[in-house]
Amino acid sequence: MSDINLKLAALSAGIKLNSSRAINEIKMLDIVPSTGYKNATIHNRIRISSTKLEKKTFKNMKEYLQYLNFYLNAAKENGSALIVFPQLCYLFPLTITSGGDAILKNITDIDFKNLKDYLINFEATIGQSLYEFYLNVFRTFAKEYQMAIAAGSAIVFENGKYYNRSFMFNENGDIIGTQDKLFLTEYEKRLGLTCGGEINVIKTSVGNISILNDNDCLFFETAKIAKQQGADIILSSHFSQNQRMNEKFHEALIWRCDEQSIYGIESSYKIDNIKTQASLIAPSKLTKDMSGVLSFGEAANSHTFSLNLSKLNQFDSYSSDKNQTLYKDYSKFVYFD
Amino acid sequence: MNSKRKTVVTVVKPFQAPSYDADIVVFSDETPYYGDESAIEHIYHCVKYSKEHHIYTVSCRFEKDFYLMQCVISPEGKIIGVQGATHLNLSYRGKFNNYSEINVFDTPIGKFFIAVDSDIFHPEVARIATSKGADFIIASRFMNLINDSNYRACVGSENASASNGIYVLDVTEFGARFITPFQNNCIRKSKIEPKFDKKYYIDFEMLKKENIFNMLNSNKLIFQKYIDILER
Repeated sequence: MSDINLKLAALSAGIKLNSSRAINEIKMLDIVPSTGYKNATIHNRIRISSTKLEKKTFKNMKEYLQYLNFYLNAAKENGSALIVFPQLCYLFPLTITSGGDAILKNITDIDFKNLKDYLINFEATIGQSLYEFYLNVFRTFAKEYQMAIAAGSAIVFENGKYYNRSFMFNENGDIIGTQDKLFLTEYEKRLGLTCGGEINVIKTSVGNISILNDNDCLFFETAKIAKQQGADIILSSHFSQNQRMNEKFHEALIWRCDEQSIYGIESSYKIDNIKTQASLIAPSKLTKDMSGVLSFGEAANSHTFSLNLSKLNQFDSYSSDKNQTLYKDYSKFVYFD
Repeated sequence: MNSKRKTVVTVVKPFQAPSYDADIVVFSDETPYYGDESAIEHIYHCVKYSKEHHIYTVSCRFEKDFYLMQCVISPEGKIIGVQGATHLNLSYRGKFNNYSEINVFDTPIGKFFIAVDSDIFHPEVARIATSKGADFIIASRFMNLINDSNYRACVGSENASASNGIYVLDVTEFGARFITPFQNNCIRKSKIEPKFDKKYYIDFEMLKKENIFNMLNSNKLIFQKYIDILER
């Protein structure tokens, strides 16, 4: 039996999550486009903003759009060509709908009974409306700001399976790439999600980007595959409510960037009593204290970083040697049964 | 073959007496490596040391047949195996060849691997060693050749430990660091300790490396799909 809140939310979605209304509301914000795209493509000055999002509930659509606009505007003011949002931020507009607060609480609760069944009911009621609303809102903002947006992720139902799919919009509002989560967290397993089957590198105006969230960053293999396919930057965010897990993923991103000579952009959520940040990670040789962290921000805001991709080509005396004979001899042993 | 619940590892200056209850000793040496001729004498002394103290001994680095190597000697004074550097730092290229085997020493005190010199900075090495059953890695390297910060020098061993769920003992000429895997502790960016004859405990009950490999196995297909890239 479907949750009553899901039914209420589905009934109210026609008005409260109406894409046409959202597009009109965004256009009424009188957005001035960012110069970031021009700076990146003509002057080779790359600025990327990453968000530390404050989790909020919203009374109405206008409030939600103004909330997103706060982060986007800050990125624009700093001349960013790309802004990065953390994964699963598509769930926030749920609170605009009737019963949405309860739905958001349930669907993000790892201990919720029968989470898998709840997702099925979610998808059958409010899921599709929420998904379309999310795509249309970010598409429109990307176009208005003329700024690429890594729009976090959404739970997508496709061919009978659920995926945690990240989306990249270009400055024209087109979806230019996606990435399904490769290694599921405990929460995602309980939701009944399916692992992704590809590691995609998305070509953008600021460089080639790979999205490796949570556990995807724990394995050097994923970053190596991304780098070998041309990635310059890894985007990563964590959905964990646990300090130790957040530290773990933060450290893992530092190691990946160091091993593969690649930049990392970390986005996050503001969570009470847990230290999180939006940060720019680089190979340690490029950072003053060799810590791997070039810059970071802890306030709930957009934090803007400047990148110089040419520095990634600097020679590393530790890690530049390769032993392909070794890798070939042992690859079957490690990766095949 | 491992019959112990805990193994005691210690680091000393070459041929200093170890703690009475240590199971395995690693030498912290100020020599980058022993050349071909002095290597034989060094190993001879290691064998004598092992027998005298009835302890497993990890030798210092030495040159043999154009490889940079280390060997392990049993308490009975037998050389139970060797491991060569599979990757070379800049100053060693042209001087040594890349070794192409990963040998995990299977002993009554546990299964371990010796990451020679800069091997600890290459994640492929620790992954293969752990896949072959290693519970702990002894990373033995000479830091002075390349000017580097303490943090940068520690990244490889922390990465190897957390990424594979195993213990890593990181030994340089300045001392040692002992890294326990993520599953048990948060990573601490501790410094190399210039204390010798300190005891480090490998607790086999605490090892939960199956977690990381369970996760890896949950989507092994993704690595199989890109195997040609992983072999580069």
